[in-house]
Parts: sequence; C-alpha cells; structure tokens
Amino acid sequence: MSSLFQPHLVLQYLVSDAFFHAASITLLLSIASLAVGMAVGLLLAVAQEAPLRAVRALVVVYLWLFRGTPVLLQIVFAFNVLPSFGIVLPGFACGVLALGLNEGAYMAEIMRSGIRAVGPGQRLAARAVGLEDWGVLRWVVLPQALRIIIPPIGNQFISMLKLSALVSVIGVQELLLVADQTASGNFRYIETLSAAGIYYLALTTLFMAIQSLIERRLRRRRTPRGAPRIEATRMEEAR
Amino acid sequence: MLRLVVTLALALLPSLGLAQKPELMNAGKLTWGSSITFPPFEYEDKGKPAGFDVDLADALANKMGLQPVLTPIEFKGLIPALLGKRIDIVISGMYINPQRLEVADFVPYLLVGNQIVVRPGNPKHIESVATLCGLRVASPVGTVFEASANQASASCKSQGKPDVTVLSLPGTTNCALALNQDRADAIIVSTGTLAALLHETPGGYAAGGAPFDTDTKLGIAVRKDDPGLKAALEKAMQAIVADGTYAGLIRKWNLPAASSAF
Repeated sequence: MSSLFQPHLVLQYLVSDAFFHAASITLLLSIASLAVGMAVGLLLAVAQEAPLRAVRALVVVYLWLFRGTPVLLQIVFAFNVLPSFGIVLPGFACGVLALGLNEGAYMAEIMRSGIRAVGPGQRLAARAVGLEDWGVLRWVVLPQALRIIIPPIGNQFISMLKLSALVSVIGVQELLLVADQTASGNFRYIETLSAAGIYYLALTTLFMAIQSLIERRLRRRRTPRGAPRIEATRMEEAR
Repeated sequence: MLRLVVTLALALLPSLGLAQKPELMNAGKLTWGSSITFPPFEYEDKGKPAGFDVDLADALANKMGLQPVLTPIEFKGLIPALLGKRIDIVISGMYINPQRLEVADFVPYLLVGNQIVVRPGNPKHIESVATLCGLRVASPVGTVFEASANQASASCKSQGKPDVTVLSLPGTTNCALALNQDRADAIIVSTGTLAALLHETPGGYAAGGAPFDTDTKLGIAVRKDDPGLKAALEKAMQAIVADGTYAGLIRKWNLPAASSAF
C-alpha cells in the first residue's frame, strides 16, 4: 500500500472489462427484476379490486409474505432452498425471481393507489359512453393512473438498482461482487468501491433522466394515441 | 540539565517500553476477527463457534492474560477490518500469501495443503487442477481457493481448452452446498477442511485427486504498525507449543501430525 488513494486506479477499473461487464449485469438484473415486478404488481393491483373475496385474500397473503421478510432472505431462499425441491436455477435467475416477486408486492400497492386515484365518476362516465370493462381500464383508468404512479415507480427503479447488489451473496458477478473480488487481491478497497460507486451513480442518473423524459411526454399527450373516438352521431342514436 | 534529562526520557519513553506494549482495541481483551464458515478451523457447532482456531485464540489469550472476544466477519472483509482497527488480529484459517504479506504481518501457526472436493463417485473424473477445464468450481470470495480456480481457468484458456466457471460465494459452507446441489462440479479446500467434510457427512463428498500445494502456511494476521502485539503473540505461541497445548489441539481436530508449523 504505497499511497492512500490512487485516482488512476479508479479510472483503470472504470474502463476495465470486468467492471463494464459487471455494470451490464447490474443493469440487466435490475431491468429484468423490475419487469417481473411490474407485471406481478399490475396483476396483484387488479386482483385486489376483484369482486371475489378469496382472490383479494390471496393478494393480502402475498403482500404480507413478500413485504414481511427481508429480500436478502428471499434471495438466499431461492438459491439455497429451492434446490431441495428439485428446482436448481442459476444465480442470475434466482436474483430476478426473488427481486421481481418482492418488487411485485411494492408495485401492487403503487399501482393500486394509482387506480384508486381515478375517481368513480370517471369510470361511470366511461361506461356512459359505452366502454366495456377492459376498455374502461385501458382507455380511462390506466392512462390517468400512469401519470400518478410514474414518480413512485421511478423511485422503485432507482431502489432496485441498489438492491441488486444483494445478489452478490449468491455469486452473480455484478458490480459489488466484482469490486470485492478485485479488492481481495490487492486490498485497494477505496479505489474498487469508488469505481463501483461511480457506475451506480451513472446508472441512477440514466434512470432519473428516463423518468423525467417519460413524465414530460405524458404531460404533453392528454389523449392516448389510438383511443376510440366517441362520435356525436352515435350518442344521438343512443338517445 | 535535569530538565533536559526528563524531556529526553519522556520523549524516548513511548518509543521504548510503552510502544512495545500491545495496543488493543479494548483493554484487557484480545478482539479477534474470523469468518465462521471454514471447518474444522472455525464453524458453528450447536449455535456456538468451534474449531481449531477458536481453541487456539483461547489458548493464546490465556497465555497473554487477556480475554478472547470473537468478532465474526465475512472472509473478504477480515483484512479491511484489521487495517481499519476494528479488530486486533485475524485468526481465520488465513493462508499466508505475498499479497496479504504486503498489507499485514503474520504469525504462522499451521501447515496445510489444498485438495479438490467432488461429489461422491467423482462423476466428472476430476484428478487435479488441470482436469478442471470446462467445469464449474465454487470458491469463497477473496480466498486463495478463488485465486487457484481463476489461475486454473487462465491456464485452461492458454492451452485452448474451455475455461473454468468460477462461482464466488461468501463462505466455504456455501460452496459445499453449491457442490451438493450441482451448481458446481468441484470446490477447492484445505486438506483439513476435506477431512472435516468427510468426517461430518460420510458419503456426501469425495476427494478429487491428491493434495497439492502442501507447504502452505496458515497465519495470524496482525497490523504492520503493531509489532508489540506480534511479539506478544509469538511469545504466547512458543509457550503453548512448549506446554503441549498446541500438539493437543492438532490431535483434537484430527489434523495430520505433519500440520505442525513448529
């Protein structure tokens, strides 16, 4: 250990194949887990509005289970316990599974808040102009809910990037593990962790930029593209 | 004149007597860091840390008139914790190697070798590190085993063979589980660990080939700026070797007699 902090080493790590590859794994892992999380979340949010009581109870149990246990436990469970049931998934898949299912529980609440925020008057009006169940959701509720839930979802995106570091314990070669491995050879923790930190910051900056872009676009376009036009003549006929 | 003498004496005092006294994190206590995932050196037995290193720390602290306090830390975090003065010493089955010698001093205490562990019946016919090409090896992050696996991978590649897939996990026990669950085809461990694995789970694992690198030394890591503590440890070590405690520990933990570093 010659001097305490060697900036050129940070630069060397930043451009190294190992760190670049690790950053792409982190990004891929986050996006895949979020995709799973959003799909599960939407499903749960809609199911929570279901008329059937059993379906709603099932959703509550899911939320209770996945929000009530640490995501690190869920990751280790997927990696170490699932094989006892004959399911041996690679580390990356275990990470996406655990992070995605966990994220789904949080997404469900965010999406539910968005759906609830669209007043009953809106739905009534949508029905009055002749839209069916799916149409009401697709053309009236979701477009308005989307505008409300974009900021909290952006939050989840950024949290997910950082949560993805947890899968380092199951051997997925993401940023934190690669930084640790690099440091374990030469004990240059300041430089390796700084390089990993810079990558994380760059990725979160990218996500934040994408979020504000989406928000701006949603603000501009009030009527969703392709929405059915309610023609005056049809309404006349209905009368 | 008197004033000069007193000033000189005061100035020299820390560099002589006081500096030689070990600087401990907590007075009267020997705070030692260890990663409790490396049987038979340190592992959890009925919820309590046990193993050769645990007994060794107790014996050394006893000779030094100190109370041993174990701080469990993940293996890769041990040296940083030592350098950051969170612990006084590391006793964690740690191999003395050139990279580690650059940042810390070591008091050697045991001779070990390495050996490959495979599933029973050796389904992938692994007989040496050279036969690992194209296979999967699990190893704990930041260990010499991870380094050997990476080295094996590089030498496979240079010979135009498929490389070794290295799965890096937090501890040796995770690696043994990974081998068991067919996430890995082999793990590399110390000869002592292999003996413990075979003893604890008969029929669960098998040796893949003969031991190699048999002159590796395990050492107690001490900060370089702490020569007083290193000297005190060496003295305590000589004392437990002289009174037979050390030989007793080697027998207790079923280590080969050739493991003695003294």
